[in-house]
Amino acid sequence: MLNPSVIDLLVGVADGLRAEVLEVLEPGPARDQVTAAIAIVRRVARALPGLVPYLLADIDDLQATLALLGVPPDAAAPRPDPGTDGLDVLIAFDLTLRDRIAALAEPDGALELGAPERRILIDLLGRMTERDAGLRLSPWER
Amino acid sequence: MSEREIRSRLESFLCVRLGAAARPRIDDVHRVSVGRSRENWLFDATWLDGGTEVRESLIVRRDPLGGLLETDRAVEYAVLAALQATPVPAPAVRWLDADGAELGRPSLVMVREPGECDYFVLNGERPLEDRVALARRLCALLVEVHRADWAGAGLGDVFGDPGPEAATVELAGWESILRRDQLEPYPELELALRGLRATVPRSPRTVVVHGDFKAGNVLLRDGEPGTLLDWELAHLGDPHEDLGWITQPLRTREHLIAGAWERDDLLAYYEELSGWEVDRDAVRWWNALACFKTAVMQISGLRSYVEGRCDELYQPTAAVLGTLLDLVDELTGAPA
Repeated sequence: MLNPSVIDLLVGVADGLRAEVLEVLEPGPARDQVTAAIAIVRRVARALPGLVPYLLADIDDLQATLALLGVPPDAAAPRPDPGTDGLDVLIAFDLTLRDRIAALAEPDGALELGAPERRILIDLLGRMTERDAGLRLSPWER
Repeated sequence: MSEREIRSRLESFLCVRLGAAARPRIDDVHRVSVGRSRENWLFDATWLDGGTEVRESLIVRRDPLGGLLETDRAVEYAVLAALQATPVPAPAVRWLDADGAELGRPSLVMVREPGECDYFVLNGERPLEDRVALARRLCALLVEVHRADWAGAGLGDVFGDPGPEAATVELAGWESILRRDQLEPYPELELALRGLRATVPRSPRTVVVHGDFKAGNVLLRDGEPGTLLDWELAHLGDPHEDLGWITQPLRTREHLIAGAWERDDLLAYYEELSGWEVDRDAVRWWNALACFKTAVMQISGLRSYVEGRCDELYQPTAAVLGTLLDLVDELTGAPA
């Protein structure tokens, strides 16, 4: 089923909550909860189309950076195929790569951080935060 | 909690504290949405004291289920009670419900002081001259906090004195919150921790650190700084910590005035009033820790959301992480 799409369904839920539920609620905790839920559903709907491109870009960047730092790829965990693997597989793979970067960066990490390595890491982390911001899932991102 | 329920609970709470013969009455209860960490309710209480009617405007600060910060109301109560013996204009505290048995959640009741908070008053519509004068008075207020006789006030019984290792202790505290609340790896924060640990400063003296000093936590009365609010992050530590918090790049709009009250002006005036030399390198370290703390608070907020304890979807923002990385980069001297 392509129509209504997942995005259409989410937007429909948000519209329905606003029109049918929010309007009849008095000010108070219940109304606050529904207001928050509407905002979150709208943010998720907005972020959804960008999620797979975001993950693929992140995975490419993390793998390239690990290679640049001389860390060999994990043969036991091949790169997922976006043609066949689901979103959950992409997310899990991305998290394993982030774990490996975090292990390099942590205070007692294995990597001896000279200036070039630190520069490579800082540049990667800057790109990651920019990508995160681009999804605009948080109400704090403008 | 509804207005009716909080009113009922407050009446019972005051009956226990004052005695049923005082016949306490609660009026004009309403919730105010100030701040992101506590749930604040304003109310008026009237009771009999030896036949004389007493009326006070009060505020109850209740812990939310979750959010950016988890702090202890009993500690905040003890801090406020101790500060009454100092010239620091902290709110007078009345009663504590430490475990929330009476008011539903841990809470403290304070006197409601007059005035209004304005986070961005230094960059508001007042004439520049007035705003600079206000900035100087806010700096003087911070000096007053730092010069308070904490040992004489008994704050040594509330907090340990971290001595010269204040920065190490504070960093370890925020790292432990990160480890408790993180839902996924944060390489940015690992790298920041590494840089912060490698460059940690020593504290020259122990003072009362407010922990969230800002115009938004100062009640202004006729334009003058009055009571300093929100002591939930207060502790004993390095005076550079508050200076690092108020000069961090993320909050310049709250603390500085471009071209008229810059970072150097603030630090020089602090030195003049306090008589203490400010170590600029130490302030830069505390600037970085301020950003690290902000990121950790956002992560705590995200965990609260995931666990259903708050309804705002926090996450470390690009502005916070990007600024933190830049500051750590400067501290560790990595070439650009």
